Amino acid sequence: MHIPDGYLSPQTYVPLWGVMVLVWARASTALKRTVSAANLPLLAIGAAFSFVIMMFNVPIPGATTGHAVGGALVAILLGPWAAAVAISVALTIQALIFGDGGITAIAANCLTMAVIGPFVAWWVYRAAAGASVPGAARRVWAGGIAAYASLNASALATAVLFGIQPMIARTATGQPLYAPYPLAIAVPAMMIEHLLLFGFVEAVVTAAAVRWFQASDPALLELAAFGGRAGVGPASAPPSGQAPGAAFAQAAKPAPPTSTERPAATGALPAPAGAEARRSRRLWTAVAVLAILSPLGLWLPSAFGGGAAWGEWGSDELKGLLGFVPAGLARLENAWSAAFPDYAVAGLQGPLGEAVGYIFSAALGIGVIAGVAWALTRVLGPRSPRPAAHSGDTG
Amino acid sequence: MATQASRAGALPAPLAHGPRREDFVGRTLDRLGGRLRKAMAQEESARADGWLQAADARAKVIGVLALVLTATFLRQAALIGVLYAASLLAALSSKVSAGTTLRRVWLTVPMFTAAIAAPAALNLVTPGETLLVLGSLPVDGHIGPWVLPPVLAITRPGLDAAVLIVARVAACVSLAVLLTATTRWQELLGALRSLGVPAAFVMVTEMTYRYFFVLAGLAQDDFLARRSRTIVEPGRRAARGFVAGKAGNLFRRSLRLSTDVNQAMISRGWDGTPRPLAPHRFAAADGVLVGAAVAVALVLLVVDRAAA
Repeated sequence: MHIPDGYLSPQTYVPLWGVMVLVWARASTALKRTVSAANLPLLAIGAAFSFVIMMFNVPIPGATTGHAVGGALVAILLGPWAAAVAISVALTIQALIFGDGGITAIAANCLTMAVIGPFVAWWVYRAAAGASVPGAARRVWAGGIAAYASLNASALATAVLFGIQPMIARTATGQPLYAPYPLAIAVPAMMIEHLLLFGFVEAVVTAAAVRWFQASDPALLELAAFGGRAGVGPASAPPSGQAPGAAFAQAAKPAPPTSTERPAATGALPAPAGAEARRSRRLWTAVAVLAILSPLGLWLPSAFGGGAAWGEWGSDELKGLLGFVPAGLARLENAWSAAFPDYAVAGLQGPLGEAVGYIFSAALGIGVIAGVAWALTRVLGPRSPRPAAHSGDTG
Repeated sequence: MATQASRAGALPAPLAHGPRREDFVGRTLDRLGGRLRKAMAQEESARADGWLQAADARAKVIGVLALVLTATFLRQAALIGVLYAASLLAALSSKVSAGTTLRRVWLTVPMFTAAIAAPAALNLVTPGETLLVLGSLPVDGHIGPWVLPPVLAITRPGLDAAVLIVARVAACVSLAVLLTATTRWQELLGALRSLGVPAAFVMVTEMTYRYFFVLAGLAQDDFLARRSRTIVEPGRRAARGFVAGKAGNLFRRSLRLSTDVNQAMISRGWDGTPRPLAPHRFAAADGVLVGAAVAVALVLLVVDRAAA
């Protein structure tokens, strides 16, 4: 599922870097709320763990073996945000050292395998497990269903990224420049094997692992603060500077397998941070609604007999208004050809296709702008002093 | 590093044909061992006495990134071929073994890319001028949403598209190998840090790489222990239970390890602020390297746009 370099057009991978920078920033904020600032070893070792379990082979039907990806298991154990960071780090190392996945495609691979997969796993696991206790058989099923859904969601996202390439970039003669298959081929080709085989491998391994935890260490199934939002760290966040394992040890000991009580205070956020999160969520919801409504711009002018927006006239409209086209404007008009002229995505035609193209362009635009804004705040914002010497023996 | 080296030294040599398809223990050991060997080989290559190894890691990161980005923008397969040839020449002249570069590129390309790109050359996917008719199709008409042509053929636009994607992937992989096979992991991360990647991310990545060796070693011990105690493999269900148990146990050990490491760091003065090593000095030769890479990138892009 790792996308190599050369399969995705720059029009795809550049905005995805913007999106992922935002996701990583959001993950870092989410983790700071629940995990001590000094808790880097847990993330690093969690990443190393997710990297190693990707290499475990299991027997599958047909006298052969397959390997699980483990994204769902990491999400169930660490929570979605910590899983997003841990798997992103593992994927970055895979791309840089082992050549699994391309350098330009790191963000795309992280989006599909470190964000979409773990979040789908987490949501499905929470929904399927309901209010069950850690030792319940329902949790085993929940783990399996979550893993199946998670792997297929990642595969679908990858297939869509491949499938939209022929729409985005073609030569004048119609020859595809990047991944050559349209959605009608890419999606079935990718999904059939994942729906019929790999999804079940992932489900069986994850369910078996959940059962193992129930039998040997059920408290670990509560480590990601079941019912909490950000994951990692049981119940309350450890105070700054305290070892994460100390909190882990407290969580691991008292919960007997037959306990019918849910651990207390599962990831409740402190009030100011919660209020900020609510405001931020409202803002992003409003932005998403506006993006979805953006195709109204196609319909409203024609419905009310309006022309182009004021100041956005093309040379044809200017000629109608002024009677001539200024020479400088005529010369510059074609100097820059946008990736999506008129917010349209090649290959998407008809009213529905144009509307999808508008929403796609809006999403890309929001991603790029938010990425640039975040980068500017990083560059221009207050900085912590950077000492010259190295400290911290990492073993 | 001593642990890593001894771990790599203790690895059994890869089997000539690899483990049997149904041998999940053998295949896991093979995958784990393969990763460790690859990382070791890379580290060894990065320590060799070559001109690229001596260059500043930041210069190499900027140069390689510029060329990889260029490869993704180019639309002429021949120009991408020039980029590939240049990366190969640079690798060979800098004491990176031909085996490393060629194997990495041409093992990845046929396994994934050619398998994906080859059908794109057919008229089923890319219609156009027919170059070679392969045969007639047994069914004529529609299969679901797909419309089938009467004959199976390779088309010119299809072949061009397939060649373009294979060339682009080969050039990108070769350039990435050039960077990682001539730059030590610590230096590469230091370069990323000084180029603006957040310190916390770099530190987590650095520790992940270190603990990957530790956890992969623990997993290897588990699987080797099972191999040495097993006469006949029990059923598949028991085998899956074993793998799930090993994954669960590894997670428990990972948590314990992260606690120990965190406490060790706190006792040595860790306060949550990553402090990177002082970067190397950027020499004039490094500036020349960046300049040359950017110049090659610009020339290729200009020629590509002129030809398009």
